[in-house]
Amino acid sequence: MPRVDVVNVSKNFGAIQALSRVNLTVDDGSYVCFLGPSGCGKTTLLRIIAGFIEPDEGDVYIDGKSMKGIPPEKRGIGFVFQDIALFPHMRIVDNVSFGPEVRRWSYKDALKAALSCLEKVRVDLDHSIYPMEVSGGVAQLVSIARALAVKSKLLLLDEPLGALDPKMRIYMKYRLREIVKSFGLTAIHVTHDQDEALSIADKVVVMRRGKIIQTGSPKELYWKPKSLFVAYFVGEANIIEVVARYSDGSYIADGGGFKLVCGWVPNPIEEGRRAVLAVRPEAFRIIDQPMEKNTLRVEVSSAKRIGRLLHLDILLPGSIHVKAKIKSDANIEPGSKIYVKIPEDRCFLYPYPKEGLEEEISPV
Amino acid sequence: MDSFLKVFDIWKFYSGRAILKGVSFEVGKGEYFVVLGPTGAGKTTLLKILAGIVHPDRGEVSIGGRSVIDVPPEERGIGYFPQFFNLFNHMTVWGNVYFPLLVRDVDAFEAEKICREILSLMHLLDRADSYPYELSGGMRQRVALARALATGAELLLLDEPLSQLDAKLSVELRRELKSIAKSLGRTVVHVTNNVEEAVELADRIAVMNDGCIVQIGSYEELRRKPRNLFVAYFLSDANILRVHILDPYNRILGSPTENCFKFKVETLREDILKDKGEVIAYIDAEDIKIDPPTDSGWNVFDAFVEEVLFHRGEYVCILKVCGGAVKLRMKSMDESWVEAGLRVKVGFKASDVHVYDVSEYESIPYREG
Repeated sequence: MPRVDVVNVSKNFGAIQALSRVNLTVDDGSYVCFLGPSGCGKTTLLRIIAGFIEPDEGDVYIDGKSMKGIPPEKRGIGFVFQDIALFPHMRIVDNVSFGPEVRRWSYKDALKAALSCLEKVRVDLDHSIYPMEVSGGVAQLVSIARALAVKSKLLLLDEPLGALDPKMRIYMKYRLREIVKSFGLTAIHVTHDQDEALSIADKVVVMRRGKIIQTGSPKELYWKPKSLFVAYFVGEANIIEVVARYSDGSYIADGGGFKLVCGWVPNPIEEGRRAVLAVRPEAFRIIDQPMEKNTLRVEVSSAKRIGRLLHLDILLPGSIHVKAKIKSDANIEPGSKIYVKIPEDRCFLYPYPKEGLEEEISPV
Repeated sequence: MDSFLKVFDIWKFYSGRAILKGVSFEVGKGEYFVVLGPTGAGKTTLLKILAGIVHPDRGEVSIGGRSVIDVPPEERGIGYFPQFFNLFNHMTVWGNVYFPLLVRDVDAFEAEKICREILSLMHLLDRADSYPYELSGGMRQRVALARALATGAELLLLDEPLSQLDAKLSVELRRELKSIAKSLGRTVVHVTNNVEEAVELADRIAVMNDGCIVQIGSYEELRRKPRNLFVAYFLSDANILRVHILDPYNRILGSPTENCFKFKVETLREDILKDKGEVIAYIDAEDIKIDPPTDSGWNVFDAFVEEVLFHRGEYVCILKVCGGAVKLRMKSMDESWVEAGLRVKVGFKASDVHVYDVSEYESIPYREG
């Protein structure tokens, strides 16, 4: 029943600081994703937890036990690689029974364990075929079976879906979560794909430049991003430069041609200062009457239907282009004028970043 | 629209196996045409045939009204962006874009002008003096695209041009790509396995599977009138259920063993109805509703919410119906109050169920269970 604590971990590669004073707790039985752009340190952190890399400072605890000096094979982990590291010269079943055999189980027990684990991950095929004969998704399931076979309760997954095609990726991500949950495992999954992280994790750890920026449930990250970077990097957001106003105890984003009350302002901003308003495309609602607060009359510049969702490009007063995704069966023509409401708690306001806007939201 | 590119009855065999089985389509001048399909559908082979790198065993390709089947790649007037591109590592960004122009005998003054224009469009002008190894993956991809654009070719052939990038970068570059292609008036054939990418970029999409083009149309057309189960499956988040026809006259389908899972459909194709056997019922995850209306057009069930997963601003609920014998996936924007562990009523309209012959199940590459 593994819980993982990362305490004050730092790591440098030459002059590059890969991780700087990272602290993190992964609860027993949870599915956690490390999310961040290339080079943010997420893979380094995973490898430190696995024991492939020693941290320069700090320590990793698994179930309260310090892992200092303990090699990967003694940490009770299963590691799944992006490039699907099955032994190509071994049959599927031998790939899975290899771990138990190395641990000196009898061949009979090892085989039994292998078959039962293949059944657990529902790989339903002739086990005597070789890895090259199966699809990438199945091969990844086999590598998970291999981890389960040595009774690992902690799964460490390094971009496990990265080599698969998108449709397979969607199917596999739900399968991964199902396996982890139904066998009471703890999983740490590294990815650069926010859709992937948000849709399967209990908790997402957003990283950038060697630091943890925010940790939270997918819903929290989506609707309560603590920084402009998270608002922009996780999911999508319209970013609009405004002036911050403060009256009657609420913050107001003043965009010149429009004013919006902002309900999510994680850092205080002085009245009259430059600020940045972030609004997710899903925050917009179409309404008939302009009676309510935070309602704007806007012009639709383009409309595209994707299933039940309307993807709109709209022009806010002051000719500001934004994207909106609205659930509606209505037919909206480009050029038409509509009323949209953005609920207060869906308007995020941040101080204008010191390093500049481009730098703050750059996905690097 | 005038057809700029015409492709007729292309066949290609590799060691006796048909990779392309009679592919035909036409692309209009200035159109952004996306070929969408899973890995192994034959997309890359098709693009290589258009580029002239692979010769088809049969069929005809014409570009701008001229048959090019015996014309070598460099004389076809195309810009080709292969899936795994190489930049000239010893040349700067500028050199990488400029050099191919010189090779084509563009005069130096003109080449410089084009080069400057394209680099500025691709936001690369300030990196013109950098070498490829000094750039991030996304930047290198831009340089390779700039090079394909700079050739001045009217027809651009792009093989998974955005697949090697970080997810976020890929989405950003996607938007730029379309506006640049449109502003330069280029005709584009873009190959991808990514549905979202296709939706955002394409004027028309050709869905490809197993060496054939299954259907061509705008995304909306494909979504509303999918020709077969594969198209429906590939373009949306689907519940695909293997069920039996329990009562052909009242059009009731359901599980032969679980008495609690029965539902009505609006229409059944004659040929399927005659069989009275197993069929495939397909229900879009977006068409399933919690607390559905009680009128007769709806099929309603008691369900248990197993999980609620987040998907962008939407929610995906995994619902167990019939004590877990059937699992349905529901996608919604509104039901943010639904939590795992709740018991709810769920339903779908009889008119939202699409019924397919059971043989079509084989066309689905990744099947549940």
